[in-house]
Amino acid sequence: MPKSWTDNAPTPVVLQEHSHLKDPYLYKIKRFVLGNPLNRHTLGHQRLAKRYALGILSSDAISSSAYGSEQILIALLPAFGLASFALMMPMTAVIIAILTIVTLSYRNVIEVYTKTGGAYIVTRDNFGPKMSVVAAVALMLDYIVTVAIQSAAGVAAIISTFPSLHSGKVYMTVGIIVLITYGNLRGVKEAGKSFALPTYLFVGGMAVVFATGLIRAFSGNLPVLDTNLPGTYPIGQAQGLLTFSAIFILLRAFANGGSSLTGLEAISDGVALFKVPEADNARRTLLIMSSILGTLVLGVSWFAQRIQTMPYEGGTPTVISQIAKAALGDGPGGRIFFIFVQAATMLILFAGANTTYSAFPILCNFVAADGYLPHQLTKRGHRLAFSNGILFLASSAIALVLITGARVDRLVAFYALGVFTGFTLAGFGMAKHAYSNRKGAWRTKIFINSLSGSVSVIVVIVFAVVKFTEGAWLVVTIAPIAVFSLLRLHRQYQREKAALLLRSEESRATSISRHDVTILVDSVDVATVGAVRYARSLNPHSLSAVHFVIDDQRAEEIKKAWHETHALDDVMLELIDCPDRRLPNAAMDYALRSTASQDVEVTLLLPRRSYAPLLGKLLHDQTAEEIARSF
Amino acid sequence: MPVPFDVAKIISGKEVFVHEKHVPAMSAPAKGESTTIPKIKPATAVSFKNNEPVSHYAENLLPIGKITWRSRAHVKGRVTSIRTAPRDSAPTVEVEIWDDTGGVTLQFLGRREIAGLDVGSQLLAEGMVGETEGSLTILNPSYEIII
Repeated sequence: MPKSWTDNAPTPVVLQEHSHLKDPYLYKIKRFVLGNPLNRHTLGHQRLAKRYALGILSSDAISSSAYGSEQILIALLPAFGLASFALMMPMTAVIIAILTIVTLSYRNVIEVYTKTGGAYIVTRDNFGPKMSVVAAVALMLDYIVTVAIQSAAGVAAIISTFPSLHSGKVYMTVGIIVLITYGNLRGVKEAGKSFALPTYLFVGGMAVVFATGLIRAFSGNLPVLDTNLPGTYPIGQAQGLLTFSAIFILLRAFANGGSSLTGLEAISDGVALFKVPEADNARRTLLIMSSILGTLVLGVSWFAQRIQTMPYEGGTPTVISQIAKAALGDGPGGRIFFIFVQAATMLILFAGANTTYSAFPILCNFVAADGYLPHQLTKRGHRLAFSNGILFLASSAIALVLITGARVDRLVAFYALGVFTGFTLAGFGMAKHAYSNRKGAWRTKIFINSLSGSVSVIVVIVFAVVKFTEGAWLVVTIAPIAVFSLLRLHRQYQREKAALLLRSEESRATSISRHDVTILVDSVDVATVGAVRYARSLNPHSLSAVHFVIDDQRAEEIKKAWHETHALDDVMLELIDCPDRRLPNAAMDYALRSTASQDVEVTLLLPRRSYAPLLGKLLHDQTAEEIARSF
Repeated sequence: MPVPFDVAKIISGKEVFVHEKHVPAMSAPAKGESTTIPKIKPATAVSFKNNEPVSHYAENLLPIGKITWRSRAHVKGRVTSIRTAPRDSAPTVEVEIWDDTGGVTLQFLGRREIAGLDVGSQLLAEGMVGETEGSLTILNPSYEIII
């Protein structure tokens, strides 16, 4: 019975599993640590409902209320003493006013840039790529500081609850950063929605704290804390408010409080994450977020001045934990809820750090794709995250934590400068956009955005001046250097691109008019014959072999072996004198000479024999590699 | 340009080779040929005055740079390269000799080897100067290897 049209033919079978390359040991470890590699098709576009988006994107912004008011107090107390508590509320009012203006400006950003926005894109589109580098550098520096500050503040929340852990602060902070980095390298997308939880826990917890606090305040049994405790910031003498130093300190307190505004960017960066209509949802979420943030800042400041919390020099217990403790009372229920609030604070701070981990690599990806950062930052890693960007962020943040000893008050000095630079550029960028389009209420938009830009630029200047000695000098000096080097990097990329540009007169893909292949021979062996076989497959116009003579004996041997080997029957062997024994140079000269006429191209083949990595280096010279390097 | 897509070299705009080679008298022979090849004159410009064999005496030696197409020449130079035809093609040996003024190829037909000739040795050659692929060649010269 014939099986097919050819009898006795082997029965057709399904495709067999072919052999695969064995995984190197390191890759096995990588797979064990990070999990199996993700297929790029799993990079689905996940869309978020408003409630999740609010939780995920606003953790950075909302969590900054955990330290904003405390930073104001730290700046004020040593100078103004107990009068600081009276200054607290006006200061907070200014900050909330700025928050409102910037929020309105960012609403506008979201309206226009419905895919991704953020200061970088706004600046690039409105002021061109050069200015956008400034925005990129500002944001990148800022993200790095954000990671450091959020994890340090989160650790401070833990320590406020369990003061005995104080000595391990730096290690804990670094540990947290490493943990978050690991999570992001593994890809935490699947658990993305759970990152919404800390925000709600925190906001809920603080709502309870405020409510009980208010009730107790009106019933009159909210305690006023003792202001003369060991470890707190020293209380200065009240002094006049109009002296120069007083104004300086006021500005510094204001700059410190400005750190509450960080993280506003996040929603405009992630507009594409929202469900349709993206822009409307994102705008509403932004408003909700800003209101929550404003309320929290206001509440914390109010309670801080009401119960006179004292910030500690070591950073713990934090002001927000003192408020929670005072409002909730010392009863067992209060104690438990205090721990809950602290846990929520910690979680939201870490979640805020985690938000940065998704924003920073994406920003780097954008900037690198525009050619201002090394292209390696656009590469996705094992688990589809931008691993290089993540590692870059983590290492910089860890360095920063180690330098500052994980102290929030020191980290704040680096902070907010970048954020407000971003706000400035976004504000003015949107004003320009409104002016050049002139649609709808463009006059109002120009007003709001210019106002936002101007206020932010004032904050930047204030910040750079008053915090200069504390650490802003580092940012002020690093940023221009970074901007300059990114521009240089871009120039290099541009030149490389121009050098490789396909011009119309060079775009003919016809074959080379005359292609000669020359094999550089040092001995006659398997590798030489392999090279000859390969050379023939190139279909050269003429195929020849060259031996550079350093040793006459050797040349003689090669000549003899050449004529005895049948595989080399049709290849002309040329012996060329190399009196100075500089083989790379001789090879170069040979190539130049062979390509002297216009339409000849020469391929030099170096039969490469590779040996054991270490032993080979000792036993064999690397002549072939040297020659290859000279071309 | 050696490797066509060496971006760094294209950007730097530097030429990798030297056009005008100076040839130190003692050391390596010049290896570039672009400037040292004498221009081949058109046939009309050539004078046919002396086609007699040149004697083998040293006073008749001509610097390689001075030899002209279609006249006899007696030259002395250093062997810089020996090209041997492979086994399955017609036997030839091509030897290149250079002195301070230039280089010339000597073509020996009908043989695969010149006994005693190594690269780097000095060679005297006498014969009629011809041409292959745009450069001067002496076909089957009479020669002396100087030891």
